[in-house]
Amino acid sequence: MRRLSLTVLTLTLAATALACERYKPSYQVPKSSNQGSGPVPGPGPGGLPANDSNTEILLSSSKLLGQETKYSAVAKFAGVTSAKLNLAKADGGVKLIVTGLPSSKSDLLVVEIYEGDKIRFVAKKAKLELAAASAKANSVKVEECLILTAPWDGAKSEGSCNWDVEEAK
Amino acid sequence: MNTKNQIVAATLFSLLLACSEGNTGRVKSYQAGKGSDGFKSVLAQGSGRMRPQAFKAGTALGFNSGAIVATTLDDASGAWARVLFDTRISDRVTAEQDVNVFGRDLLAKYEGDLKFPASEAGDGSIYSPSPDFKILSFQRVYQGVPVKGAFLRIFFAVQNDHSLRLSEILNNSYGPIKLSPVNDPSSAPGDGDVIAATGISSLLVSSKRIVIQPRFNESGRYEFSYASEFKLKGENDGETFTVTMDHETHELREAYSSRMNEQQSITAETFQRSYVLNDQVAKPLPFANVIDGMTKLTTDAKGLVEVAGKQVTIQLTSDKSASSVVDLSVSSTEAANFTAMLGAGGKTNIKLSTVNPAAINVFVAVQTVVDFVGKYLTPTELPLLTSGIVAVVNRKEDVCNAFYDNDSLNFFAQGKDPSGATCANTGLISDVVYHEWGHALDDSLGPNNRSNGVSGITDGAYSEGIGDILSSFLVRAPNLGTGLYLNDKKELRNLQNTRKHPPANAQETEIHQAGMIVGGAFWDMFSNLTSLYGTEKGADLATKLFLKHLQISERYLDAYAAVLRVDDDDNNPATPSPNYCNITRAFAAHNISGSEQAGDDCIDKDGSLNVRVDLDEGDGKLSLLVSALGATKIIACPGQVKICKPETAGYLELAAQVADDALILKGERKYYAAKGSFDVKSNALYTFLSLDSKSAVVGLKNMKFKIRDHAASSLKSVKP
Ligand SMILES: [Zn+2]
Repeated sequence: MRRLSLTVLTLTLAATALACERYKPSYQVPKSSNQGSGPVPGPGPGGLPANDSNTEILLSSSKLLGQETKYSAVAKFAGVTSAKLNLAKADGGVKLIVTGLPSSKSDLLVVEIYEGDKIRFVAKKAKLELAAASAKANSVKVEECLILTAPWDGAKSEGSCNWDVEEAK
Repeated sequence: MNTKNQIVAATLFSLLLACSEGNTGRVKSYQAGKGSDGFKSVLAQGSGRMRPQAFKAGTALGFNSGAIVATTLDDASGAWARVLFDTRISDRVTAEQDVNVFGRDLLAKYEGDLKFPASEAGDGSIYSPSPDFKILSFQRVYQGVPVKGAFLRIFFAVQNDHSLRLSEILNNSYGPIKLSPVNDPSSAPGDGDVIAATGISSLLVSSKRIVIQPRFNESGRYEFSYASEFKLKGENDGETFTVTMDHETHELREAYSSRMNEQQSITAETFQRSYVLNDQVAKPLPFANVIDGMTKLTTDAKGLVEVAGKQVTIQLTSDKSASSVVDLSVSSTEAANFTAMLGAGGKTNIKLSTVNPAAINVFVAVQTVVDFVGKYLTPTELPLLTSGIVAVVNRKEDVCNAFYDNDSLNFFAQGKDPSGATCANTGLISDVVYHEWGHALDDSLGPNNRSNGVSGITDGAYSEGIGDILSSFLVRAPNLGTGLYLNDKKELRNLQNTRKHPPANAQETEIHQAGMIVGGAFWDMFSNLTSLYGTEKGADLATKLFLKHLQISERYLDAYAAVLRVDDDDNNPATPSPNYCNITRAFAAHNISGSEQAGDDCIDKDGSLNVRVDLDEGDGKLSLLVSALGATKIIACPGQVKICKPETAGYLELAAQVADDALILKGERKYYAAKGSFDVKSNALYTFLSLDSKSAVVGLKNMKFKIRDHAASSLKSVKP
């Protein structure tokens, strides 16, 4: 069963600068090279509204800049996992467009970036909330400091965007 | 059972795996088990049995050198047993030729504390086991007579400019000597007296000398008496006994044998540990002669040789082999050989069932142990690696045993021992091969070693421990010698034990039993280090510490100090070595750490531990991933702490499993996820403690969390 919703997403950004580029509504979700189609929005978990609206996730990263054809990505949010999606060029990095992420729930957004079937990077953004409908475009910016190499080899300590971690001697 | 019988029983039982001299296949008789009960009970305790029983920490008062950082006293004499110096400020010697004079001056300066008059020091000898150390040794000589086992060693740390800094004094000179009666040569026992005491009438005296023999009196202090030390040889036999007999009482004070007993491309089936475990594995047949008509080729380290598709004769010897195996059931001089059809496809696996299995197994096991040790010691340090050794298999002795004897390893054929038990062929037990080769290792390393023309086996119990430690480190297991009795999987000895110095009873003084004290300490150290650094790195470090310490230690009581010297990363005893606590805890558990103890607050750094912020939940709440090499579990508490318990405020536990394992690189490292968030806003510093499988703390790392400057204002939550 497909529950359509006109909800347009706004984002609770733990991110900074919402100086994201303007969202251009498109006719359909860009096709994933791997899956041939976009995610299938199902019923939101716990009866949360799911929708056909798009969420643009901008991965702001010099590591990814110009690499949009090399990588693909999977987004996970509030119990919904997207298909493996193609990346597109974006200012300062790459972007992906995801359909059907639940709204009205604060949850963790995880974006996994793959080269073929090997994971290369992961970004986790806490307490993201996709709010109810708005005419405005939706965009999530994921800061470079949130994009970590994956898998972690454990060889050195790594902090977060907010916190440095080092040995206290 | 009285004490004497206990010792005899211990000798027969533990035997096993005993020690001793020989070359090529020339066969010598095996005398273990012969002789009088009195002789056997002393013999069972081996060389170096006169060990200090206890040490205590020295007081800091009265020191006349600011460079002294610690002293240990020998409880029985009150003399300094060990002195450590801070090499940043200790005495400096610029040229090696001045070392001897410096050493004598030093002895004169501290002779009161060392209780070793400088006038009693013999000629000094200098030994340089590695680029980091030089060791000056003085044997003690009292009125022209050597004092058995009494020595002083002075260690120097070699500096970058090649000058030497005084780093350590090791004093085993037994304190003030009072002798009564005075030296009366007429009271010395004759050759007949000592041969009668051994109960082996076929022995001949080959040499003798007068010595002063230290012993413990009833109040545990040292006392001294004149004694004669005889070297006794059997007719046509390579086994030599060294027997010391008191002048006044004609009692035997010490006896030891030159033998130390123990109970493959062409590949060959061999046993990893023991036939009884049925653990066959095909290994390359390395450095064996392959005779093809008139042409003699040799396999390489990987068992490769350029010949295929024909029948050849394979000889278990070559110029490069670590052992030349003589199969006594066939020949006493020629290397064991057999014919083999080399497959046309280039791969031949020699089945144990088709050849003499003991010969093949010993040949490959010796190469295995040589390869293992060769990763840590060079042929210059240990010529045994390239000189090779003769291994004699299938000796018919009707004893469950094997032995080392100066230049040969000897393994007994299947048979019945005197008690009626069936003995396995010890050549089929690789644990035993490694142990026996360990005696050759002991004989070759240290200030006393075979290349110096003296036996390198100066402490029989230590030598037995060394054989067992080598074997256990190679196979990474503490239970040794399974299958000594035919098809009996019971182990002969286990290094995971609680044996303490001094031996608790007469039975434990037998050398194989006493060897389990130092064996237990090294196994505990191995366990601590593998718990901290993981199996590979931990075993590697433990093996390095073990093998290199043998270059500078002669007695099991000195092993601890020698291991710390090897672990030292700045060549200065004044600063704790990186693994000080884990080493000290292991040796203290067996009471051979001198006076040093590692309390609960003694925790080494876990340098392998790293932290990653998996998720920043905001407001200083972080979800962390931790990675380390060995810890079974990790716990964390706020602050810089040594004690961290579940009841401690802010305590967090990290289990060795991560929910999303795509996010961690599987390999030698382990990963841990916290059951809860770290509050780094409230606690800028956390201590992470690494626990072993028994939840004992084996390492720690302090981590601090700081607000990242540039990011401080760039992240915030925005809600519509
Ligand atoms: Zn032995």
